Amino acid sequence: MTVTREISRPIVAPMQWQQYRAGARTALPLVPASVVFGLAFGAVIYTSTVDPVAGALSSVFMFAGAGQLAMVDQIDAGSPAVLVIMTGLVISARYALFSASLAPTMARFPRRWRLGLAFMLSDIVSVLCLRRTKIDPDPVRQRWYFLGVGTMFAGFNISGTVAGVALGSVLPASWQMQFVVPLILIAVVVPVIRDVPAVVAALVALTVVLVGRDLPSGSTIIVAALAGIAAGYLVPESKRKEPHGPPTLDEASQA
Amino acid sequence: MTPLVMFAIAGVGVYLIRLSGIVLLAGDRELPDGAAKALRLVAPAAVTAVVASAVLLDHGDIRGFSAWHLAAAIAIALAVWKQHMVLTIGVGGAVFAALLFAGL
Repeated sequence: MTVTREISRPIVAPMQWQQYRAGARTALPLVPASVVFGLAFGAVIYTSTVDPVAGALSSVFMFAGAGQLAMVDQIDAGSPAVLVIMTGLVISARYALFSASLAPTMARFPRRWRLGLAFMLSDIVSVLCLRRTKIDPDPVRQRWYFLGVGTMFAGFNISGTVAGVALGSVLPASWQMQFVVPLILIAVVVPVIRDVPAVVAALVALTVVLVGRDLPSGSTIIVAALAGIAAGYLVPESKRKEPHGPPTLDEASQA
Repeated sequence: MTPLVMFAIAGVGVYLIRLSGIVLLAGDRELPDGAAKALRLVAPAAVTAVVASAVLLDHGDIRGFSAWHLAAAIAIALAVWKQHMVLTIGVGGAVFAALLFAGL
């Protein structure tokens, strides 16, 4: 087996390593945003009752941005522990659906890959990996690419959060760094809202968030998401845009 | 219960959630068309719900008009127009910072 110079661990064959790097490169543009999220989360922890060590470890345990923010919110509000945990889980329930969307692809991966990659699954990671699945059907190349996207994004997200908590005191709350959360998600989701059912799903979800804002602790988002999916499901798909996958990142970058 | 224990328990739960779809739909079975369509709608619906909740609500109440609305609207318009992640995040963040600086 020939091993190229860049490889530090000769166990990894060049083709796999190349895919890993391709995945990491895809996630690279998101790194600054990921670090900014970490700083924002750090600022939130600093102004909350949660101690910094617990705040930093929450990212290692959960790697679930919006869910963690909601839990910190509930802890500050003095909610009982069961409700705090439920809030985190309800907001993270959407990962089940992202997980299912990658299932057909991951079914061809060995078990240890499925167990490992599952930890790194997020909105952004699954969208990027689904784009890849459409242009590269090879399961070996796919899983190394997924690993590249996942370790890059999760790695910077987690270390960014730890750094953010450590630096929390330098960022005043008046900077409102939490804005980076919806900002990142807007950048990721808009390109996948490309046909009429998706537009309907998004608009219904938005409306239900406003109407259902008084639903019990944190369930608003999951109710809104399910309502949006149901509404979009009922809208017939137009035939002209087949196949209607999201653009590849290259298309998106060149647009 | 300390926040650290709550985060640990939630962490186990979130991992099981992430694993659920992969495990339940494992095996070589093909997804029916209907299920595939529903799954394609997950990102548009769930992510929009998170964005709408973050931008339009503030601790469960309607957020008064602010830099959040303006900067998010500009980011969405830019994302629709250019479909470029980095540009959207960069310009959106810069606009938000400028609006805060301008006192909005």
